[in-house]
Amino acid sequence: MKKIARFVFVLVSILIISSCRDEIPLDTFDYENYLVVEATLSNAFKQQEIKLSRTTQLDTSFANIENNAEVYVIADETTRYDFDQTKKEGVYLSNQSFSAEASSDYQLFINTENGRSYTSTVVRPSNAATITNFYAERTINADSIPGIQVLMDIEGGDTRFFRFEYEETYKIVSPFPSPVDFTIINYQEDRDEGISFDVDTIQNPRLEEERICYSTNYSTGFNLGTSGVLNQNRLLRQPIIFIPANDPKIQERYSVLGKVYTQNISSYTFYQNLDELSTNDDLLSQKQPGFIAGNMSSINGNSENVLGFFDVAIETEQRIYFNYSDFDFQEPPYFYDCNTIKLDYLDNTVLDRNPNQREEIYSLLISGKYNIYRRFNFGPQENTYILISDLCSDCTTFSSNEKPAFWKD
Amino acid sequence: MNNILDYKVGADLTLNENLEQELLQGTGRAYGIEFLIKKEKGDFNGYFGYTYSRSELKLDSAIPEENVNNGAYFPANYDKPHDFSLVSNYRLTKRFSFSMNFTYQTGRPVTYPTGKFIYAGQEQVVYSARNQFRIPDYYRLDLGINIEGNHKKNKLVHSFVNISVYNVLGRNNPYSVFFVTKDNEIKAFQTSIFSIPIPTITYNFKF
Repeated sequence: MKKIARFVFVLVSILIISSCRDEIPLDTFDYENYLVVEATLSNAFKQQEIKLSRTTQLDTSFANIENNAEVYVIADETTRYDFDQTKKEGVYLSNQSFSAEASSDYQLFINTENGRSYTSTVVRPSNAATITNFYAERTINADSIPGIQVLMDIEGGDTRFFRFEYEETYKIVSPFPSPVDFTIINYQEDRDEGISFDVDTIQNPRLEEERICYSTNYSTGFNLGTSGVLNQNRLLRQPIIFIPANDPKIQERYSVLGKVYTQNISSYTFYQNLDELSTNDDLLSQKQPGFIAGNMSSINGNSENVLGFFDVAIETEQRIYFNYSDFDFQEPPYFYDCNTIKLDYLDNTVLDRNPNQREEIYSLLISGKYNIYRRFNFGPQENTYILISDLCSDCTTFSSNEKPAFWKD
Repeated sequence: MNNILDYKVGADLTLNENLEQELLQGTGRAYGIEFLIKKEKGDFNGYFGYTYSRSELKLDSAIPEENVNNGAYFPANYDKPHDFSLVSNYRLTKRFSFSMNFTYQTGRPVTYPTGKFIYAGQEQVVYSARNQFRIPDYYRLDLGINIEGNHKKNKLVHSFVNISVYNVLGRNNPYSVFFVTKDNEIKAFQTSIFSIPIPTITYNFKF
């Protein structure tokens, strides 16, 4: 019996070893260079934005921008809006501000530098959806992580297809502002004594504006919803964003602007297909890959493929504010570990079996990544420095201290 | 052939209650020619066969999302144009005989990623036309030897032993190549069975 078991074991092992899933190098099999159009005109009165790029090979990491194209939109076959390339990569902005209207027809035209011409189908946006409720709830998500789920309830107009986006902005307060500005002076190197230097400090009590920053992130990817199978044209509890309870973003005050764009079946299907193929991560249920056709085509009369979609959508938006305490969570940690480093200037040797602390003070301060949190000028700890990473003392190192115009405390 | 089914781009059938929404109906056509030589008599026998066969599909629709490869015929998933097989046996003595089996098939069609682009702040993959490429060709060589016992008439059991090696060349024949996109990164995988030579011993008896 034991022998049979061993035999079966060996057999199964051979099967496992020899039947396998191997990762193979991903060569670009036959790279094709397509124009990529990313455009959503909206009813917000602003300089409308269109992004043009090109596909790149799979193994490259840089983006491929379409430069010097002539881009314009014709509204109702009469009004022409020209778009000019900006310094931002691949972004073309309309010369004038305008808002897309639900009762008008829009068509995009592109003439590229290489003499090709492309156009979109004629697009007429659907009427606006109404946000009936935009709210946040304490919850535990599918991965068992406690946090805050932001949800939106909407009522559709004449379409049942919607796309959702968000813009999150949060306040950051530097926890360990440095009370001084410093300069290193009298730096000297001595063969026996090692290095020596003085640190000249100027008291600089930080104003509140210097301690407070605001960061904004934009949603990426596709968040789509449809009321397609429901009797009423209503979509309830559409997830917008989930924030884990220990996310530093909700430590002070967090704001999210939720947006809903009306879509038609073509744009909805296009985004849905892109989304599905970009998350093709389940080995057991592979999705059918293929070229995803949008509503752009080449005018030159050939079958050249164009990627992307010219979308005209009516957006509705709403903003809410909250922080961790509104949901009875514990205060989340700061964005970075803020351990202070205590170093003694008088320790200029490694003979005491710990590093040469004087050299460490020097290299940390000169790196520009550390600030002085405290310095003892007298007493038993004289010449001791307490250093702090600038990520903890100065939030402008990773954020901006410009207060957004909409912000309400 | 009418009403042949195939998937829409992005179709996901697992646990899908509305299968019909993920499928497309199209026209299919199949054609080919077969060729076979057989030698049955003698110590050296076997056959050689070659088949050229095509099976193609056309999914054309006025709705752009339901149009595959611009409405032109493309190879169906099971299209294998060339199929070649050679089977031969050689009887050396009354008790020893050898056999050889060689097969070759064109790799089946597959849709490969041909590039990438940024859309909605994410990296996206652009795929080729459906079934524009093929996975590597399949070929395999098997060798075997039969050793029979003595041929005495009044034996209780007539037996023989077969020793053979499957996939002598150790060819790593992929039966599928597929792509996984996770966290904005695309990876290619292939699955294969018995990518190493597999020896077998069989004992047969008749009574």
